[in-house]
Amino acid sequence: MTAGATDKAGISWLPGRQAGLALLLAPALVYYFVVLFLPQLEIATASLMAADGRFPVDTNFRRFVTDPFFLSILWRTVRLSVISTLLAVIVAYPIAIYLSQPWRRWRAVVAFAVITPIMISAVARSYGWVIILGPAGLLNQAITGLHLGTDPQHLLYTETGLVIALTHLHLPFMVLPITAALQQIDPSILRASRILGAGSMRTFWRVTLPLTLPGITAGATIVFCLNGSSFVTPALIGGARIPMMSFLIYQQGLDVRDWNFASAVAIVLLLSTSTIVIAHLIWSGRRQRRAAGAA
Amino acid sequence: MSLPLTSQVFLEVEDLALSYGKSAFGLAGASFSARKGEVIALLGPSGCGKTTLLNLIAGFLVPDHGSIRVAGRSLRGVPPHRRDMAMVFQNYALFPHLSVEKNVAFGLEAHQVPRQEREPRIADALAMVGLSDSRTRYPRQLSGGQQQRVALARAMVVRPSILLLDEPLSNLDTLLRKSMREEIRQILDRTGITAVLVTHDQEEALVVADRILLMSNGKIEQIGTPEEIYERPRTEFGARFMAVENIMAGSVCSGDTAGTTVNTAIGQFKCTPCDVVTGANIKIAVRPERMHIVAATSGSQSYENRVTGRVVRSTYHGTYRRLLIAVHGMELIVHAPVSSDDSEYSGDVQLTWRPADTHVLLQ
Repeated sequence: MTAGATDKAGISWLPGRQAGLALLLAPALVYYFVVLFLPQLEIATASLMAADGRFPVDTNFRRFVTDPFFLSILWRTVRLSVISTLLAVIVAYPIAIYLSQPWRRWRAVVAFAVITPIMISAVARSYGWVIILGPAGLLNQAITGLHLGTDPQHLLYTETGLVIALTHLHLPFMVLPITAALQQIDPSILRASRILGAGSMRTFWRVTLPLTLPGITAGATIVFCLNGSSFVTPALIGGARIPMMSFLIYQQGLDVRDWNFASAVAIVLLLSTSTIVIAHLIWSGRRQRRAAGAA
Repeated sequence: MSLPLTSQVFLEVEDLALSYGKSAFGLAGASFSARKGEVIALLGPSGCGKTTLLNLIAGFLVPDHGSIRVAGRSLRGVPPHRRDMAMVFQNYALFPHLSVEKNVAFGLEAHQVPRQEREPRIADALAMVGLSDSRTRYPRQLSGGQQQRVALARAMVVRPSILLLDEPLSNLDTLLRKSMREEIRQILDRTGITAVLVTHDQEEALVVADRILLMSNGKIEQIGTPEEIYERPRTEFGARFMAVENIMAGSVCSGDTAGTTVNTAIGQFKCTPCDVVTGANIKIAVRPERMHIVAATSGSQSYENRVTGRVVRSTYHGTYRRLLIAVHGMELIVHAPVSSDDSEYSGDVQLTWRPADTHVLLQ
């Protein structure tokens, strides 16, 4: 743990540590400046502009926060994103446990099944869910076929259906970090817990779960952001009946042609998701520093 | 520590076996018992099955057959957390997300020790290992030696019926290892706990244990006190593992209760008594430090077994000089005391050793 030794052994072919780092970061910084920061700046500018070009005005934001319909869309977006993220943690954890155990026979198959959603286009996947969730879809056939219910369940164009689809869509981003965190746990730590009198439940809650919390946090942050910003799935499964923020932006921009209001909605979405993410990062950062013993 | 012979058998292991398919790390039918308060060392090279045996006792592995009994109660089907044991691991295995005191408190909470009883017990355990000042620190802020002390405190605080130690000192440097093993010995003596220690370090087993189980290839080679294991190896493996480097093949010439006479390629030697028939082919073993150089000039003491040889190589080891001596085409190792005049350890020398230091090994 001698930080000094590593410093002295730093990469010698670079002009200097700081200069070298800046050089290596330059391409990424230029790229992000051009494709992310400049467009965001334009959207932010547009959001402060009235339809007739007057500038700066707060009309667009005022319109958003005073209209209960728009606020309900923001609330739904945040709510469904959080619910789907929590659901993803619960679904992903057992899969991650299975994947982290090298002796499991079907590990490769399960890993492949988990990763496939990333490899298929969001459009194709979402249509797949439309077929499954529809009134005559697979899920309803199974429900009536197994006599679990008589009437077809309405899942398409419902929040339940949307949460199911979103959870599946972003599951890999939860499974992978949790699997990595589980694989990092030294098996003898779990044995130590068992022999000290803790059963498997206590060992899970007191040792395994706390040690995988960084993985859960990482996965939750990614999945929450993806949920909040996803467009294709909410558009196809929720559509206009249960609009999400992304759908509202699309509608205001391309249907209503009110680019300035669409920009304001985009800024609201960006601010609300990033507030939640930043709060989460600060909390988990503090937690990790505490665990590292810096406090 | 000498124990009264009346002490009851506390831990009983009978014909315990586990195979891992073709792998060499299994255990092929081990039996031994320990009295209450006894410290048993499982000693052997890696792959001899000592860790398997420890993990079977802990309940981390399920045996193919055989039984483990503690105070007469069979442990068949009892999970690790209900075995009333505790373990100290080679890599310490402290909970990285918990402070020192929370690590120590873990077992007390798991055993549902009443809250008001926990605090004094944590304080006692940390005082025992001299870490009372580090209660709020985290494992990664501690040195290896300190981490191992926390691991020991964490295990002892639950007052286990049996303490298991898996290579507890192998990750420490030599000097720390020597002081820690004496500290562990003292703590075990003071608390009177029954303990099973796994080690590949002969000295560690000799210092810490009351009895040693010498293991090889999944089998117990010899069980004995440290003195017996060191002084009277029974098999060639045991002799070699305990650094008895001079092993000579021979045949039994004659034998009675007073001793055995064995013919070897370099002469006839008197050995400790053994029940091997005359004419049998056997091996005899002598420790390097039990062979002595007879100085040509002085009339130093000479024993019944004698050969002459020539010093081939001599290396200085601080407390002794290690000599390689050629005797009629055979090479013997002798550890001779370092003297003011080391010139006598060169050229032709006469070697001598006692019959009591010459052991007949079982084939």
